[in-house]
Amino acid sequence: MNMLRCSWLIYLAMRTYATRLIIIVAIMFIPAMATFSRGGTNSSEALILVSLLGFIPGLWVLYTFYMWEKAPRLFLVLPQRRLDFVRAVYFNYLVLTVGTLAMDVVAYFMVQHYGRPPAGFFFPLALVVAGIVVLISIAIPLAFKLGYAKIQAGLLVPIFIPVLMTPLSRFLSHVTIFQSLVGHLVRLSHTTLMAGMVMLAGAALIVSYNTATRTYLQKDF
Amino acid sequence: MNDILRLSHVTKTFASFSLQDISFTLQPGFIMGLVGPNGSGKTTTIKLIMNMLHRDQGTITVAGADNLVEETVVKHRIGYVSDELYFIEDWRPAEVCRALQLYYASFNRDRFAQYLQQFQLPQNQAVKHYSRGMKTRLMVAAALSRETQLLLLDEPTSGLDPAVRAELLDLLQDYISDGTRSVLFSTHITTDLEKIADYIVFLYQGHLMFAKNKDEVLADYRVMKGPPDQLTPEWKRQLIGVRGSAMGFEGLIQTGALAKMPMGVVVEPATLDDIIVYHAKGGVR
Repeated sequence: MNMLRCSWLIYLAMRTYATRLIIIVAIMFIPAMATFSRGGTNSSEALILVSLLGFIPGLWVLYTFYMWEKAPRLFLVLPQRRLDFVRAVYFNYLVLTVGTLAMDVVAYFMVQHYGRPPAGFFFPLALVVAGIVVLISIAIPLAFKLGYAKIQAGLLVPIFIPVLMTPLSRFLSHVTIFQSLVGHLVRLSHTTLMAGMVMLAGAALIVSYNTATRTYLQKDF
Repeated sequence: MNDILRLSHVTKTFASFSLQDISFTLQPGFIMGLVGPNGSGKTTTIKLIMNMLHRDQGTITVAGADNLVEETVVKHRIGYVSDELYFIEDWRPAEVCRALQLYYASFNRDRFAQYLQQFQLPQNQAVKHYSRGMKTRLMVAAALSRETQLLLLDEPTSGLDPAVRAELLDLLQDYISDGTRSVLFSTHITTDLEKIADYIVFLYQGHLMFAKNKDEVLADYRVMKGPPDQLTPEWKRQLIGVRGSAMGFEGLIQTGALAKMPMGVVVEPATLDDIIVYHAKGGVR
Protein backbone atom coordinates (compact mmCIF):
# COMPACT_ATOMS: atom_id res chain seq x y z
CA MET A 1 0.00 0.00 0.00
CA ASN A 2 2.80 2.37 0.96
CA MET A 3 4.57 1.51 -2.28
CA LEU A 4 1.52 2.57 -4.32
CA ARG A 5 1.22 5.74 -2.25
CA CYS A 6 4.88 6.53 -2.81
CA SER A 7 4.49 5.75 -6.49
CA TRP A 8 1.66 8.30 -6.66
CA LEU A 9 3.78 10.80 -4.71
CA ILE A 10 6.55 10.43 -7.30
CA TYR A 11 3.97 11.26 -9.95
CA LEU A 12 2.77 14.30 -7.94
CA ALA A 13 6.38 15.40 -7.51
CA MET A 14 7.02 15.11 -11.22
CA ARG A 15 3.73 16.28 -12.65
CA THR A 16 5.21 19.38 -14.27
CA TYR A 17 7.98 17.30 -15.79
CA ALA A 18 5.58 14.56 -16.85
CA THR A 19 3.65 17.10 -18.91
CA ARG A 20 6.85 18.16 -20.64
CA LEU A 21 7.71 14.52 -21.23
CA ILE A 22 4.35 13.84 -22.87
CA ILE A 23 4.88 16.87 -25.15
CA ILE A 24 8.35 15.59 -26.13
CA VAL A 25 6.99 12.12 -26.87
CA ALA A 26 4.10 13.57 -28.89
CA ILE A 27 6.55 15.70 -30.89
CA MET A 28 8.56 12.55 -31.72
CA PHE A 29 5.66 10.17 -32.14
CA ILE A 30 3.16 12.08 -34.26
CA PRO A 31 5.49 12.93 -37.21
CA ALA A 32 6.91 9.39 -37.14
CA MET A 33 3.43 7.91 -37.40
CA ALA A 34 2.48 10.39 -40.11
CA THR A 35 5.54 9.42 -42.16
CA PHE A 36 4.94 5.71 -41.79
CA SER A 37 1.27 6.00 -42.59
CA ARG A 38 2.07 7.82 -45.85
CA GLY A 39 4.70 5.53 -47.27
CA GLY A 40 4.64 2.37 -45.23
CA THR A 41 7.72 1.24 -43.41
CA ASN A 42 10.41 -1.39 -43.31
CA SER A 43 12.02 -3.07 -40.32
CA SER A 44 14.77 -0.46 -39.83
CA GLU A 45 12.21 2.34 -39.83
CA ALA A 46 10.13 0.35 -37.40
CA LEU A 47 13.23 0.05 -35.25
CA ILE A 48 13.55 3.83 -35.17
CA LEU A 49 9.92 4.11 -34.15
CA VAL A 50 10.18 1.64 -31.31
CA SER A 51 13.44 3.23 -30.22
CA LEU A 52 11.66 6.56 -29.93
CA LEU A 53 8.96 4.93 -27.87
CA GLY A 54 11.58 3.15 -25.82
CA PHE A 55 12.76 6.52 -24.54
CA ILE A 56 9.64 7.01 -22.46
CA PRO A 57 10.62 4.87 -19.48
CA GLY A 58 14.24 5.96 -19.87
CA LEU A 59 13.31 9.62 -19.74
CA TRP A 60 10.91 8.99 -16.91
CA VAL A 61 13.60 7.37 -14.80
CA LEU A 62 15.92 10.23 -15.65
CA TYR A 63 13.34 12.67 -14.34
CA THR A 64 12.61 10.48 -11.34
CA PHE A 65 16.17 10.85 -10.24
CA TYR A 66 16.24 14.49 -11.09
CA MET A 67 13.33 15.01 -8.70
CA TRP A 68 14.72 12.56 -6.20
CA GLU A 69 17.93 14.57 -6.07
CA LYS A 70 15.86 17.69 -5.49
CA ALA A 71 13.71 16.26 -2.75
CA PRO A 72 15.27 13.23 -1.10
CA ARG A 73 14.20 14.56 2.27
CA LEU A 74 10.52 14.62 1.35
CA PHE A 75 10.60 10.89 0.66
CA LEU A 76 12.38 10.30 3.96
CA VAL A 77 10.28 12.63 6.07
CA LEU A 78 6.97 11.03 5.11
CA PRO A 79 5.78 7.97 7.04
CA GLN A 80 7.10 5.22 4.85
CA ARG A 81 10.06 2.89 4.85
CA ARG A 82 12.98 3.49 2.56
CA LEU A 83 12.13 0.19 0.96
CA ASP A 84 8.78 1.64 -0.11
CA PHE A 85 10.55 4.32 -2.11
CA VAL A 86 12.84 1.82 -3.86
CA ARG A 87 9.85 -0.38 -4.67
CA ALA A 88 7.89 2.63 -5.93
CA VAL A 89 10.72 3.64 -8.29
CA TYR A 90 10.86 0.13 -9.78
CA PHE A 91 7.09 -0.17 -9.85
CA ASN A 92 6.78 3.10 -11.78
CA TYR A 93 9.48 1.97 -14.13
CA LEU A 94 7.76 -1.38 -14.80
CA VAL A 95 4.41 0.31 -15.34
CA LEU A 96 5.99 2.68 -17.83
CA THR A 97 7.86 -0.09 -19.62
CA VAL A 98 4.67 -2.11 -19.95
CA GLY A 99 2.86 1.06 -21.06
CA THR A 100 5.53 1.67 -23.66
CA LEU A 101 5.21 -1.87 -24.97
CA ALA A 102 1.47 -1.37 -25.21
CA MET A 103 2.04 1.85 -27.18
CA ASP A 104 4.39 -0.05 -29.49
CA VAL A 105 1.76 -2.67 -30.17
CA VAL A 106 -0.81 0.07 -30.83
CA ALA A 107 1.70 1.69 -33.21
CA TYR A 108 2.12 -1.63 -35.00
CA PHE A 109 -1.59 -2.01 -35.55
CA MET A 110 -1.90 1.61 -36.66
CA VAL A 111 0.78 1.07 -39.27
CA GLN A 112 -0.86 -2.20 -40.27
CA HIS A 113 -4.14 -0.36 -40.66
CA TYR A 114 -2.61 1.57 -43.54
CA GLY A 115 -1.90 -1.69 -45.34
CA ARG A 116 1.90 -1.84 -45.07
CA PRO A 117 2.78 -3.63 -41.83
CA PRO A 118 6.49 -3.43 -41.05
CA ALA A 119 8.42 -6.63 -41.46
CA GLY A 120 10.02 -7.98 -38.29
CA PHE A 121 8.53 -5.28 -36.08
CA PHE A 122 8.41 -7.25 -32.83
CA PHE A 123 11.98 -8.45 -32.98
CA PRO A 124 13.60 -4.99 -32.98
CA LEU A 125 11.01 -3.95 -30.40
CA ALA A 126 12.15 -6.69 -28.02
CA LEU A 127 15.80 -5.89 -28.79
CA VAL A 128 15.45 -2.16 -28.05
CA VAL A 129 13.24 -2.51 -24.99
CA ALA A 130 15.46 -5.24 -23.52
CA GLY A 131 18.53 -3.07 -24.17
CA ILE A 132 16.98 -0.06 -22.48
CA VAL A 133 15.76 -2.14 -19.53
CA VAL A 134 19.29 -3.50 -19.02
CA LEU A 135 20.81 0.01 -19.20
CA ILE A 136 18.27 1.48 -16.82
CA SER A 137 18.76 -1.51 -14.50
CA ILE A 138 22.40 -0.53 -14.26
CA ALA A 139 21.60 3.17 -13.92
CA ILE A 140 19.08 2.97 -11.05
CA PRO A 141 21.37 1.46 -8.38
CA LEU A 142 24.14 3.79 -9.54
CA ALA A 143 21.83 6.75 -9.11
CA PHE A 144 20.92 5.56 -5.61
CA LYS A 145 24.60 5.22 -4.80
CA LEU A 146 26.10 8.27 -6.50
CA GLY A 147 23.19 10.64 -6.97
CA TYR A 148 21.65 11.94 -10.15
CA ALA A 149 24.29 14.59 -10.85
CA LYS A 150 27.08 12.05 -11.23
CA ILE A 151 25.23 9.68 -13.53
CA GLN A 152 23.18 12.04 -15.68
CA ALA A 153 25.64 11.81 -18.56
CA GLY A 154 25.35 8.02 -18.43
CA LEU A 155 21.57 8.25 -18.45
CA LEU A 156 21.75 9.97 -21.81
CA VAL A 157 23.10 6.75 -23.33
CA PRO A 158 19.63 5.26 -24.04
CA ILE A 159 18.76 8.41 -25.98
CA PHE A 160 21.74 7.89 -28.25
CA ILE A 161 21.13 4.18 -28.83
CA PRO A 162 19.47 4.65 -32.25
CA VAL A 163 22.19 7.12 -33.22
CA LEU A 164 24.94 4.78 -32.10
CA MET A 165 23.35 1.66 -33.49
CA THR A 166 24.36 2.16 -37.15
CA PRO A 167 28.08 2.92 -36.59
CA LEU A 168 28.19 0.28 -33.87
CA SER A 169 26.74 -2.40 -36.14
CA ARG A 170 29.21 -1.42 -38.88
CA PHE A 171 32.06 -1.68 -36.42
CA LEU A 172 30.89 -4.95 -34.95
CA SER A 173 30.38 -6.51 -38.39
CA HIS A 174 34.20 -6.47 -38.74
CA VAL A 175 34.80 -8.10 -35.37
CA THR A 176 35.29 -11.84 -35.74
CA ILE A 177 33.87 -12.87 -32.38
CA PHE A 178 30.79 -10.76 -32.99
CA GLN A 179 30.38 -12.24 -36.49
CA SER A 180 30.61 -15.71 -34.99
CA LEU A 181 28.11 -14.75 -32.25
CA VAL A 182 25.70 -13.30 -34.80
CA GLY A 183 26.21 -16.42 -36.92
CA HIS A 184 25.01 -18.54 -34.01
CA LEU A 185 22.22 -16.18 -33.07
CA VAL A 186 20.72 -15.98 -36.54
CA ARG A 187 20.26 -19.71 -36.50
CA LEU A 188 17.95 -19.30 -33.51
CA SER A 189 14.35 -18.44 -34.13
CA HIS A 190 13.19 -14.89 -33.38
CA THR A 191 10.87 -16.26 -30.74
CA THR A 192 13.77 -17.94 -28.91
CA LEU A 193 15.85 -14.78 -29.14
CA MET A 194 13.02 -12.63 -27.88
CA ALA A 195 12.43 -14.99 -24.97
CA GLY A 196 16.15 -14.79 -24.20
CA MET A 197 16.06 -10.99 -24.27
CA VAL A 198 13.03 -10.86 -22.02
CA MET A 199 14.78 -13.20 -19.58
CA LEU A 200 17.95 -11.11 -19.71
CA ALA A 201 15.97 -7.93 -19.02
CA GLY A 202 14.08 -9.61 -16.18
CA ALA A 203 17.30 -10.90 -14.60
CA ALA A 204 18.90 -7.45 -14.91
CA LEU A 205 15.90 -5.88 -13.18
CA ILE A 206 16.00 -8.38 -10.30
CA VAL A 207 19.74 -7.87 -9.72
CA SER A 208 19.24 -4.11 -10.05
CA TYR A 209 16.39 -4.05 -7.51
CA ASN A 210 18.39 -6.03 -4.96
CA THR A 211 21.45 -3.84 -5.40
CA ALA A 212 19.41 -0.61 -5.22
CA THR A 213 17.65 -1.79 -2.07
CA ARG A 214 20.92 -2.62 -0.32
CA THR A 215 22.45 0.70 -1.40
CA TYR A 216 19.52 2.92 -0.49
CA LEU A 217 18.82 1.33 2.88
CA GLN A 218 22.34 2.19 4.02
CA LYS A 219 22.53 5.69 2.59
CA ASP A 220 22.89 8.76 4.78
CA PHE A 221 21.20 12.04 3.92
CA MET B 1 8.39 4.83 30.45
CA ASN B 2 6.20 7.65 29.15
CA ASP B 3 9.06 9.48 27.48
CA ILE B 4 8.11 11.09 24.21
CA LEU B 5 11.71 10.87 23.05
CA ARG B 6 14.56 8.75 24.35
CA LEU B 7 18.08 8.60 22.97
CA SER B 8 20.37 6.01 24.59
CA HIS B 9 24.09 5.93 23.85
CA VAL B 10 23.61 7.06 20.28
CA THR B 11 26.80 7.18 18.24
CA LYS B 12 27.37 8.16 14.65
CA THR B 13 30.78 8.41 13.03
CA PHE B 14 31.63 10.26 9.82
CA ALA B 15 35.04 10.66 8.24
CA SER B 16 35.75 13.95 9.99
CA PHE B 17 33.19 14.11 12.78
CA SER B 18 31.55 11.82 15.26
CA LEU B 19 28.60 12.12 17.56
CA GLN B 20 29.53 10.21 20.67
CA ASP B 21 27.37 8.44 23.19
CA ILE B 22 24.42 10.82 23.22
CA SER B 23 21.73 10.05 25.78
CA PHE B 24 18.79 12.18 26.88
CA THR B 25 15.05 11.93 27.36
CA LEU B 26 12.17 14.28 26.76
CA GLN B 27 8.96 13.99 28.74
CA PRO B 28 5.52 14.96 27.43
CA GLY B 29 4.51 18.58 27.94
CA PHE B 30 7.99 20.07 27.67
CA ILE B 31 10.08 22.01 25.20
CA MET B 32 13.71 21.04 24.82
CA GLY B 33 16.30 23.25 23.15
CA LEU B 34 19.25 21.70 21.35
CA VAL B 35 22.17 24.12 21.38
CA GLY B 36 25.80 24.17 20.44
CA PRO B 37 28.17 25.89 18.04
CA ASN B 38 28.15 25.09 14.31
CA GLY B 39 29.28 21.53 13.65
CA SER B 40 28.52 20.35 17.17
CA GLY B 41 26.04 17.68 16.05
CA LYS B 42 22.60 19.31 16.42
CA THR B 43 21.39 18.59 12.89
CA THR B 44 23.02 15.14 13.00
CA THR B 45 21.03 14.34 16.15
CA ILE B 46 17.76 15.45 14.55
CA LYS B 47 18.54 13.54 11.34
CA LEU B 48 19.29 10.42 13.38
CA ILE B 49 15.88 10.70 15.03
CA MET B 50 14.29 11.06 11.57
CA ASN B 51 16.33 8.09 10.28
CA MET B 52 17.89 10.26 7.59
CA LEU B 53 21.21 9.10 9.00
CA HIS B 54 21.95 5.60 10.21
CA ARG B 55 23.18 5.41 13.75
CA ASP B 56 26.21 3.23 14.45
CA GLN B 57 25.18 2.40 17.99
CA GLY B 58 22.47 3.10 20.54
CA THR B 59 18.70 3.30 20.41
CA ILE B 60 16.19 6.01 19.62
CA THR B 61 12.55 5.66 20.59
CA VAL B 62 9.60 7.99 20.05
CA ALA B 63 6.74 7.33 22.47
CA GLY B 64 8.18 3.85 23.01
CA ALA B 65 8.58 2.95 19.32
CA ASP B 66 12.03 2.35 17.88
CA ASN B 67 12.69 4.71 14.98
CA LEU B 68 14.20 1.96 12.82
CA VAL B 69 12.00 -1.00 13.67
CA GLU B 70 8.76 1.02 13.58
CA GLU B 71 9.84 3.75 11.21
CA THR B 72 6.39 4.42 9.76
CA VAL B 73 4.74 4.63 13.19
CA VAL B 74 7.46 6.96 14.45
CA LYS B 75 7.17 9.27 11.46
CA HIS B 76 3.43 9.51 11.99
CA ARG B 77 4.15 10.76 15.50
CA ILE B 78 6.70 13.38 14.47
CA GLY B 79 6.13 16.76 12.87
CA TYR B 80 9.41 17.76 11.29
CA VAL B 81 10.60 21.22 10.29
CA SER B 82 13.92 21.14 8.51
CA ASP B 83 16.47 23.91 8.03
CA GLU B 84 15.85 23.49 4.28
CA LEU B 85 12.53 23.14 2.50
CA TYR B 86 11.79 19.50 1.81
CA PHE B 87 8.70 19.96 -0.35
CA ILE B 88 9.01 19.97 -4.12
CA GLU B 89 9.86 23.53 -5.07
CA ASP B 90 7.43 23.60 -8.01
CA TRP B 91 4.52 22.79 -5.75
CA ARG B 92 1.99 25.31 -4.54
CA PRO B 93 0.46 24.94 -1.07
CA ALA B 94 -2.50 23.04 -2.59
CA GLU B 95 -0.12 20.33 -3.83
CA VAL B 96 1.63 20.20 -0.46
CA CYS B 97 -1.80 19.67 1.07
CA ARG B 98 -2.64 16.91 -1.42
CA ALA B 99 0.63 15.06 -0.76
CA LEU B 100 0.19 15.25 3.01
CA GLN B 101 -3.42 14.08 2.82
CA LEU B 102 -2.15 11.07 0.92
CA TYR B 103 -0.01 10.02 3.87
CA TYR B 104 -1.70 11.33 7.01
CA ALA B 105 -5.28 10.41 7.83
CA SER B 106 -5.24 13.07 10.56
CA PHE B 107 -4.15 15.85 8.23
CA ASN B 108 -6.65 18.69 8.58
CA ARG B 109 -7.04 20.62 5.36
CA ASP B 110 -8.98 23.48 6.99
CA ARG B 111 -6.42 23.88 9.74
CA PHE B 112 -3.68 23.97 7.09
CA ALA B 113 -5.57 26.70 5.20
CA GLN B 114 -5.93 28.65 8.46
CA TYR B 115 -2.21 28.46 9.12
CA LEU B 116 -1.44 29.55 5.56
CA GLN B 117 -3.61 32.59 6.17
CA GLN B 118 -2.17 33.23 9.62
CA PHE B 119 1.40 32.97 8.29
CA GLN B 120 0.51 35.12 5.27
CA LEU B 121 1.66 32.52 2.77
CA PRO B 122 0.40 33.16 -0.78
CA GLN B 123 -1.51 30.15 -2.07
CA ASN B 124 -1.16 30.87 -5.77
CA GLN B 125 2.63 30.94 -5.76
CA ALA B 126 5.05 28.03 -6.19
CA VAL B 127 7.00 27.52 -2.99
CA LYS B 128 10.29 28.11 -4.81
CA HIS B 129 9.34 31.79 -4.89
CA TYR B 130 8.90 31.90 -1.11
CA SER B 131 11.50 33.56 1.09
CA ARG B 132 13.43 31.41 3.58
CA GLY B 133 11.14 32.51 6.40
CA MET B 134 8.06 31.66 4.35
CA LYS B 135 9.43 28.19 3.58
CA THR B 136 9.96 27.58 7.30
CA ARG B 137 6.42 28.80 8.03
CA LEU B 138 5.04 26.45 5.36
CA MET B 139 6.76 23.47 7.00
CA VAL B 140 5.49 24.59 10.42
CA ALA B 141 1.96 24.90 9.01
CA ALA B 142 2.23 21.39 7.55
CA ALA B 143 3.54 19.95 10.82
CA LEU B 144 0.87 21.61 12.94
CA SER B 145 -2.02 20.60 10.69
CA ARG B 146 -2.08 16.97 11.79
CA GLU B 147 -1.96 14.91 14.97
CA THR B 148 1.59 14.48 16.24
CA GLN B 149 3.25 13.85 19.57
CA LEU B 150 6.63 15.38 18.93
CA LEU B 151 7.69 18.43 16.96
CA LEU B 152 11.28 18.30 15.72
CA LEU B 153 12.50 21.64 14.48
CA ASP B 154 15.94 22.27 13.05
CA GLU B 155 16.75 25.96 13.49
CA PRO B 156 13.21 27.06 12.77
CA THR B 157 13.59 30.65 13.96
CA SER B 158 16.79 31.58 12.14
CA GLY B 159 15.13 32.99 9.01
CA LEU B 160 12.22 34.67 10.74
CA ASP B 161 11.68 38.32 11.66
CA PRO B 162 11.11 39.06 15.37
CA ALA B 163 7.31 39.31 15.09
CA VAL B 164 6.92 35.98 13.28
CA ARG B 165 9.48 34.40 15.61
CA ALA B 166 7.45 35.44 18.63
CA GLU B 167 4.33 34.08 16.94
CA LEU B 168 6.03 30.74 16.29
CA LEU B 169 7.22 30.50 19.89
CA ASP B 170 3.63 31.10 21.04
CA LEU B 171 2.47 28.31 18.74
CA LEU B 172 5.03 25.95 20.25
CA GLN B 173 3.80 26.85 23.73
CA ASP B 174 0.23 26.16 22.65
CA TYR B 175 1.30 22.88 21.10
CA ILE B 176 2.59 21.46 24.38
CA SER B 177 -0.06 23.06 26.58
CA ASP B 178 -2.23 19.92 26.90
CA GLY B 179 0.71 18.07 28.46
CA THR B 180 0.74 15.18 25.98
CA ARG B 181 3.10 16.55 23.33
CA SER B 182 6.66 17.82 23.27
CA VAL B 183 8.99 19.93 21.16
CA LEU B 184 12.68 19.49 20.42
CA PHE B 185 14.25 22.33 18.54
CA SER B 186 17.77 23.31 17.66
CA THR B 187 18.72 26.95 17.55
CA HIS B 188 21.52 29.48 17.78
CA ILE B 189 19.16 32.09 19.16
CA THR B 190 19.43 31.46 22.87
CA THR B 191 16.95 34.20 23.75
CA ASP B 192 14.28 31.96 22.19
CA LEU B 193 15.34 29.18 24.55
CA GLU B 194 15.32 31.50 27.53
CA LYS B 195 11.73 32.39 26.63
CA ILE B 196 10.22 28.95 26.09
CA ALA B 197 12.58 26.02 26.70
CA ASP B 198 12.16 23.81 29.75
CA TYR B 199 15.25 21.71 29.06
CA ILE B 200 18.55 22.42 27.37
CA VAL B 201 20.71 19.87 25.59
CA PHE B 202 24.16 21.28 24.91
CA LEU B 203 26.31 19.56 22.31
CA TYR B 204 29.90 20.43 21.61
CA GLN B 205 32.13 18.73 19.03
CA GLY B 206 29.84 15.72 19.03
CA HIS B 207 29.87 15.35 22.80
CA LEU B 208 26.93 15.83 25.10
CA MET B 209 28.04 18.51 27.56
CA PHE B 210 24.78 18.45 29.51
CA ALA B 211 21.07 17.76 29.18
CA LYS B 212 19.36 19.58 32.02
CA ASN B 213 16.44 21.64 33.12
CA LYS B 214 16.99 25.22 31.90
CA ASP B 215 16.66 26.79 35.37
CA GLU B 216 19.14 24.25 36.71
CA VAL B 217 21.57 25.13 33.91
CA LEU B 218 21.28 28.85 34.64
CA ALA B 219 21.66 28.19 38.38
CA ASP B 220 24.66 25.89 37.87
CA TYR B 221 26.93 28.41 36.19
CA ARG B 222 28.27 31.89 36.94
CA VAL B 223 30.59 34.22 35.07
CA MET B 224 33.60 35.09 37.20
CA LYS B 225 35.69 38.20 36.57
CA GLY B 226 38.69 39.47 38.47
CA PRO B 227 42.14 41.08 38.43
CA PRO B 228 44.98 39.05 36.83
CA ASP B 229 46.76 38.37 40.14
CA GLN B 230 43.73 36.46 41.43
CA LEU B 231 43.89 33.92 38.62
CA THR B 232 45.74 31.19 40.49
CA PRO B 233 46.43 27.81 38.82
CA GLU B 234 43.71 26.30 41.00
CA TRP B 235 41.09 28.79 39.73
CA LYS B 236 42.39 28.41 36.21
CA ARG B 237 41.68 24.68 36.45
CA GLN B 238 38.14 25.28 37.61
CA LEU B 239 37.23 28.01 35.17
CA ILE B 240 35.69 26.98 31.86
CA GLY B 241 36.91 28.90 28.81
CA VAL B 242 39.00 31.35 30.83
CA ARG B 243 40.04 34.51 29.01
CA GLY B 244 42.96 36.45 30.45
CA SER B 245 44.51 39.86 29.70
CA ALA B 246 46.66 42.48 31.44
CA MET B 247 43.43 44.06 32.72
CA GLY B 248 41.99 40.91 34.27
CA PHE B 249 40.40 37.57 33.59
CA GLU B 250 36.94 36.16 33.09
CA GLY B 251 35.55 32.69 32.73
CA LEU B 252 32.61 30.43 33.44
CA ILE B 253 32.51 28.57 36.71
CA GLN B 254 30.19 26.05 38.28
CA THR B 255 28.25 27.56 41.15
CA GLY B 256 29.38 24.79 43.51
CA ALA B 257 33.02 25.84 43.11
CA LEU B 258 32.40 29.35 44.43
CA ALA B 259 32.52 28.50 48.14
CA LYS B 260 35.99 29.97 48.63
CA MET B 261 35.74 32.98 46.40
CA PRO B 262 38.85 35.16 46.45
CA MET B 263 38.71 38.87 47.26
CA GLY B 264 38.29 41.35 44.42
CA VAL B 265 36.52 38.87 42.20
CA VAL B 266 33.09 39.63 40.72
CA VAL B 267 30.57 36.90 40.04
CA GLU B 268 27.62 37.49 37.70
CA PRO B 269 24.73 35.28 36.60
CA ALA B 270 25.50 33.51 33.34
CA THR B 271 23.19 33.63 30.36
CA LEU B 272 22.75 30.65 28.02
CA ASP B 273 24.93 32.51 25.52
CA ASP B 274 27.70 32.80 28.15
CA ILE B 275 27.44 29.10 28.95
CA ILE B 276 27.71 28.11 25.28
CA VAL B 277 30.47 30.57 24.42
CA TYR B 278 32.66 29.72 27.41
CA HIS B 279 32.15 25.99 26.96
CA ALA B 280 33.06 26.30 23.30
CA LYS B 281 36.19 28.20 24.30
CA GLY B 282 37.07 25.73 27.02
CA GLY B 283 36.57 22.65 24.87
CA VAL B 284 35.56 19.17 25.99
CA ARG B 285 36.79 18.35 29.54
